[in-house]
Amino acid sequence: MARTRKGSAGGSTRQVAMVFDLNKCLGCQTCTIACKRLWTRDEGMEHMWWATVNTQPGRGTPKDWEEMGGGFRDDVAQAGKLPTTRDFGEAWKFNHEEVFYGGKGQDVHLKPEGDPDWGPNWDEDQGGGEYPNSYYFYLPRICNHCTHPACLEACPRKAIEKREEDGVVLINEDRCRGYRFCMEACPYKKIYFNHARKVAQKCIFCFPRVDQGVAPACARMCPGRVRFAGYLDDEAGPIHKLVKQWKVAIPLHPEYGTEPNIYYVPPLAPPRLDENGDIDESNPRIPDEYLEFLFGPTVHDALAILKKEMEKTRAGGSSELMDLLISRRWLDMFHELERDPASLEWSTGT
Amino acid sequence: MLVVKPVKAKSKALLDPSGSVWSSIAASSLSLKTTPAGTQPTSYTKVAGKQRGEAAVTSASMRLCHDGQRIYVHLEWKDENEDLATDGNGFPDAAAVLLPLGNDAPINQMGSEQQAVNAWQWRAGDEQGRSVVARGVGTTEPTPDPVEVAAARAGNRWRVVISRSLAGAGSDSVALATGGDSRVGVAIWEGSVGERGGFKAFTENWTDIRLAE
Repeated sequence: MARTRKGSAGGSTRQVAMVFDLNKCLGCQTCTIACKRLWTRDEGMEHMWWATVNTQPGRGTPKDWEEMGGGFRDDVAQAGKLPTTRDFGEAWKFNHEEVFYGGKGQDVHLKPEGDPDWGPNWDEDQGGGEYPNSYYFYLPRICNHCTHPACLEACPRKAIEKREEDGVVLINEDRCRGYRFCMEACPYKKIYFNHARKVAQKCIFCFPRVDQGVAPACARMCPGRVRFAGYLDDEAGPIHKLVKQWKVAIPLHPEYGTEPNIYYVPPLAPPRLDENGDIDESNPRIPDEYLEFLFGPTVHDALAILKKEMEKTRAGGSSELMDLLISRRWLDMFHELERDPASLEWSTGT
Repeated sequence: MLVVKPVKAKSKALLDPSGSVWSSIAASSLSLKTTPAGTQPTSYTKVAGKQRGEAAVTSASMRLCHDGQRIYVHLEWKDENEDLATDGNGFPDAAAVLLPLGNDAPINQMGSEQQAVNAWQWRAGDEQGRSVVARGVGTTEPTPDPVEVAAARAGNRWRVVISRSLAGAGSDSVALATGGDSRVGVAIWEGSVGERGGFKAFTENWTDIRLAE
């Protein structure tokens, strides 16, 4: 039976959310590294990337996660596959010692030890389509902090909570026994297992920062101004405007039934070229069915709105939506979460 | 009624699963069943449980003794694989002994709100055992009792000893005393087939025990 959900935030009074503008993501992985440096450097976390960016079309991280099940169909939980560390892509060890300190810098290439056949970005920049109409775009992913979290419902230890004040979904490591039902149940496969601590771990939406009005590290560090962060109900903030008002930001795989709170501005692409090399506006370069597979049928509405607003600016007019997406003033992307983390005085916890 | 006899042996000897003291104690055979999918505690585990096969371990042997201070439970069962799951893939083998706080506690429901059960758990690779109290499936909470565990491989078999003080540490810990009666149940998890949590083999019925003086 489905858990009771109140309002739009799954029983929480507010809901944090992010919007990722896929038209601005250039796959630099700065978000990925910002998260890694801050949260997943301890033993047992070697293979963890709470924030990932994968090339689409592609097999993603973990490998083929979209075929692993979980989530809900007609509000009924669906069985899922447990991803392995190989699926996620194990942390490779490199021959740093040999190349940099062993006197072989001129003879030996820097390379991973062993013979890895998968990694978190193994199929980076491969994409789809045929030249000259090949295409790809980047898809950043974090935990969706779902309104209807499959992980929370699956856990027999009641180790997962959705915070009342902001809807952040957190795993209580004191209660977790490492059963990993959450990892099977999460249809986005964004939960990892820490073999050293024997607990499941995942993105925490940088809640210690959010608690003090600071945007999550992945959002603040993004040099492309891709990641808007804030509260869904903040009508003056960008999240509400993009999701609720303009309806150009839509969730990934809404059919998974968990009501995710990470939203995407879907990708536009250059037009196709026909056999003569002329521009063919009649067929999209990124196939409609592929975008529908990722974002559901509302992707076409979102793209139509984007195109209409772009036309306005092309014609010399102005567009509030385009200004919002361009984000001329960087901190406007975070609104209630625009505080500078350097201004914080952190408690040492003693 | 299974009589748990006192033994004159040091704790160290009793915590040796292949030690000679155990060969002098009679073994009881246990028959274990698969936990039904319908009794799994969450919607997800009910669905996933339906897709699972039978639990891997169907029988085990149990030996019990006490030294006046502690009770020792020796379990032995066939398991071709030693699953420690240290690399984060797969699941560790595990076993637990269950005792009721109220004598009518339902074993197949992990107790009830009125009749709690106390479990002492061993998990392969963990040096310490763990004590939990449960008042129905999916309600386990740790209790402060130190549980000592020891495990050894004997060919294709696990031998495990689980031990706790007779008295217990608090109101959620079963209190035993020489001359008194209690009941025990056993659960075994086979890590190689993904058994963990409610996915396990368990004894459907309590074994009544009496602690001889």
